[in-house]
Amino acid sequence: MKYETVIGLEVHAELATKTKIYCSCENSFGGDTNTRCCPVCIGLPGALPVLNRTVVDYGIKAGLAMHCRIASYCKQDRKNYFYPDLPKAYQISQFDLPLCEEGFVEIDTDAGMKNIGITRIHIEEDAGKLLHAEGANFSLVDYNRGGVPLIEIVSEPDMRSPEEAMAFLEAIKSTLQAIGVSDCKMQEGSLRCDINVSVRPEGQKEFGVRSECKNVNSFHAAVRAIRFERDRQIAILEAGGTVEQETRRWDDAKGESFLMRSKEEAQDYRYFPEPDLAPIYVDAAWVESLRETLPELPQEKKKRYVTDYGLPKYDAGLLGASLGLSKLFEETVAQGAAPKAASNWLLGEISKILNETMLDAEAIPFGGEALAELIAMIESGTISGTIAKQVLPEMFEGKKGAKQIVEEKGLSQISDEGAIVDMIKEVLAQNEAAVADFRAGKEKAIGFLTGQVMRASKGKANPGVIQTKLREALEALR
Amino acid sequence: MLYTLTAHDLSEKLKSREISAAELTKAQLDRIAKAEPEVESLLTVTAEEAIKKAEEVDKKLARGEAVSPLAGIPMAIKDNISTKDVRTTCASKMLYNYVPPYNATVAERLFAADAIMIGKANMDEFAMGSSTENSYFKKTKNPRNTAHVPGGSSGGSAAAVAADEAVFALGSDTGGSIRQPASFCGVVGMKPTYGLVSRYGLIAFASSLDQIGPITKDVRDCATVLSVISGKDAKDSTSLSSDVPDYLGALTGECKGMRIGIPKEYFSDAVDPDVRRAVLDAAKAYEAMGACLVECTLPMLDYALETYYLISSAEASSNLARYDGVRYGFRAEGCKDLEELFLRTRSEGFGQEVKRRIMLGTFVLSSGYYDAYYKKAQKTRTLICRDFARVFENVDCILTPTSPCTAWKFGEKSADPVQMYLADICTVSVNIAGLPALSMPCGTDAAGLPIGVQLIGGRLRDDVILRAAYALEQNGKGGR
Amino acid sequence: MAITMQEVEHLAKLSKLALSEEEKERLTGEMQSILSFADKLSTLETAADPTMFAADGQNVFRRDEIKPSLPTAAILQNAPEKDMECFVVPKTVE
Repeated sequence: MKYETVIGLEVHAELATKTKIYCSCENSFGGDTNTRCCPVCIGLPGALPVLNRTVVDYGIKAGLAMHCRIASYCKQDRKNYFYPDLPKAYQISQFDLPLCEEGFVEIDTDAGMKNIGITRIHIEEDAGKLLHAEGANFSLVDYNRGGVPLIEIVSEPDMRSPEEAMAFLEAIKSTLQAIGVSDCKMQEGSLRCDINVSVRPEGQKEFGVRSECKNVNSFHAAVRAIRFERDRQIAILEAGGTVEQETRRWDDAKGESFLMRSKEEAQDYRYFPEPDLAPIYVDAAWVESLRETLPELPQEKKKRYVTDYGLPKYDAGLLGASLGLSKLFEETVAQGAAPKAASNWLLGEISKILNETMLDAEAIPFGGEALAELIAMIESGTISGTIAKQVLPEMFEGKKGAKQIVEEKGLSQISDEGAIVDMIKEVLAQNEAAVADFRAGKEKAIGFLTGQVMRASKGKANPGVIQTKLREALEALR
Repeated sequence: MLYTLTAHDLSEKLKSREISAAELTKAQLDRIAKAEPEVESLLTVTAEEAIKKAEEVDKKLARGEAVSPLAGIPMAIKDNISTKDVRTTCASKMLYNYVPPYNATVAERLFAADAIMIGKANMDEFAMGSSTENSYFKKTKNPRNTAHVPGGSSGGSAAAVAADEAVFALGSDTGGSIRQPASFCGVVGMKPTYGLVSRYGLIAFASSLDQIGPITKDVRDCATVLSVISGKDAKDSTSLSSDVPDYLGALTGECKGMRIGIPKEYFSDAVDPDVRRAVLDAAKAYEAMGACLVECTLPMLDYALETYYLISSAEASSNLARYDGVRYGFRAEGCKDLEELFLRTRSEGFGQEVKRRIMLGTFVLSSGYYDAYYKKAQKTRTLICRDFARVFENVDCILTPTSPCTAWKFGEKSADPVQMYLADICTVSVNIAGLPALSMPCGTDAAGLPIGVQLIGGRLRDDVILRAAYALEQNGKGGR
Repeated sequence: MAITMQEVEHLAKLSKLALSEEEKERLTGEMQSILSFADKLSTLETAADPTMFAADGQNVFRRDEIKPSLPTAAILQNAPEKDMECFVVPKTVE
């Protein structure tokens, strides 16, 4: 039987505020343990929370970017459960009245654009971190992360494949980055998700029984966990069994998920309104003032790049998703570079260097003017593409422009026919065998000889001139 | 004797340099040494720090600097209010060794006013109780008759003031915990409007009901202490931003034309006849002073106790979840795993009454019962607020007994929790509605035990009840 | 409403309280009497909105400005067990 997979996601993103959600401790990553803590965020008796206004601003911005309705009235609630990383033994979150509701995010699928529904977005606090020493019979607790602000984005069960889930996660990430509310650094755990998966025979209307999978800490883990869960559930159904509603825990190292608790053991979180905090009223003026600050969103950018610059959808999507690349792209095109050429450089050689050096696109030390200059030199024949690839790493050092590097290193292309003809003569004299091959009708030999001339010129000879003059010289010998 | 005087009398003597703060503090510590073995009102005595601080105050006085009316005045703080570097236990085994690294805002304000803390006062464990018998450490006696309880949960604070072990004290009041012990011990106790005094640093029992307030020897001291501790605190989101009125200025000694509500529900047969007589005598005294007595009705009183116990237990079950043996306080020894650590720490660290309320609160919030109990109680809370709002359209304050009875003997009510809960009938609805209320002495019963009259004010009309209380005190009623 | 011993055990589990048999029995009885006393509320018909917040403040916020944290020594000063500038707990299952 053919099965359809139904996926819903709950994404937790750490907000990039300066301070924690309920106290003035610094919100940052790394550093020594328990150095960014105070009575409030370690839950000392008597300490009280005071909400950081920027957290509400960022939550509203995320809601607007994901086309949500912003609640005019919402409140915060306590979610009660015991764990050593949760200092008060309750997490302050939002239960029945979240900050944002009923939105959507657009993703690209093989079958075209698709809207993934957003059920709700709410604000809450993060827990501390448990550290496990190898072989020790104890664990250590560090509360630096305790009280870091999070938004939880809950999707509708609208995704039908691991690829759609991946596209959704990418869309969330690029959107949150674009509006500047989260840096979404996966390696620092600032974006995490819980996955709800169910399967059903193709054509069936009702949803199957779903399981929830926790502890998914990267996009790739999400894809793997969805595949694992899909296959596990299909195997149960194929064997004539029934899928149980349960909570599972993903073990990325093992590539498997394990039962955490069954439906019967479901937690009773005893939510109730947080009496230490006041309710939140958001009026239209507040929402509008934030809407005005929203930049163009990745999906909008993508559409514009396709229509205005004629970029392929794929290129437009990649550029649009990156704040740094899209900014550089637009600057470069504004300086007169051809859009496709600019896109090729940004998504090709420049992205390669970023990957190798583990840099963010925002950290590229040169602007669009410099990139446009480089592209213009190729267009005008001053340098070849090969030379340009040698110039780029130097540009990343951030000290010199393309023109200066080319001039100082004497990398300008040789278009002087006389000089090239001299080089050709020399190459032909040194490669008699290849010349003989050519004369015997082996056209391939011309490629080899072109390479040799290029080498003799240290890559600087104009390839077009080499082609014409080499053929002339060889024809003359025939 | 110096230690028998009020803060305002002592302040005059300090300012005129008739006495020094060090002298006063030493006299106070001597008095504690003498009275404490019998009364046992204090859990910690901070003698050294007190003398040091008194000497600093004397230097300030010598330079003519300290002008606060509380400068140099020895006082006690209930042991659920955080004091930096001074053990704060909530009278629980759970926090037997807990030393806060920060001060509660009220402590900070008293210290800034140069008041001198001489110790931390005993209480019912986590403020749950009406007799201070639930303290893990000791049983505080009623200084008026040591065979009787001092009331609770701020029994240590009230007994300390009544026994002249402190000139004034801070208590906390969730359902009557300042007013009832003040009434039992024959002193003045006030629960301010919810949000008037910062709760930052007050170890929470029920967040939406808790409020810190003064316990003093007279009404003027009460107004003075309130002026110092009240006002907006950025660290408490429920702290009100309204300006603090001039409470001392409200003490005119007059109450002519004031309309005083007498709600018939508070004078039922459940109220001890001696108590009823003394409280109605106070009402008559007001009438004689030119106030107007207005009969009124608060029918929702019938539901107040139930509402109170459901809401306070629900919040308590969550507030007390943090005591898990991980970050501070008691930890059960030799636990093999996490579950055992949580279970044994909490079972060994909490007393019976605390466990009972945690269980009740967990029940009230648990799935399937939330709507019928917690949510229903919150709806009833709305009705109780409306009840008061309606009456306050027509009166300036309401006069009732503080407690239906006087201080009982040790052990008399500790067997049946419901019997103990019923003793809170006159005080809890004030907390539910967030109103200010004050208890002051108005006589004694046949056995010579103090009786308290309660004055309830409209929201943020703390000044009105202070004015009414002061007038009654000046009239010769009240005081000691 | 009637409360059973099983319910008391469930509540104890949620509250992380280990109760002896004697405590369970006593608490079942006590909770029974407290709840039958509280059951009076169910007789009250009302369409009133619940009072969710005691103070009538709204939008009480703090500015997003960093203030110094407490020194790590103060954070850990009450820890029943500490090591490597962290709180120590029995090994958690991971």
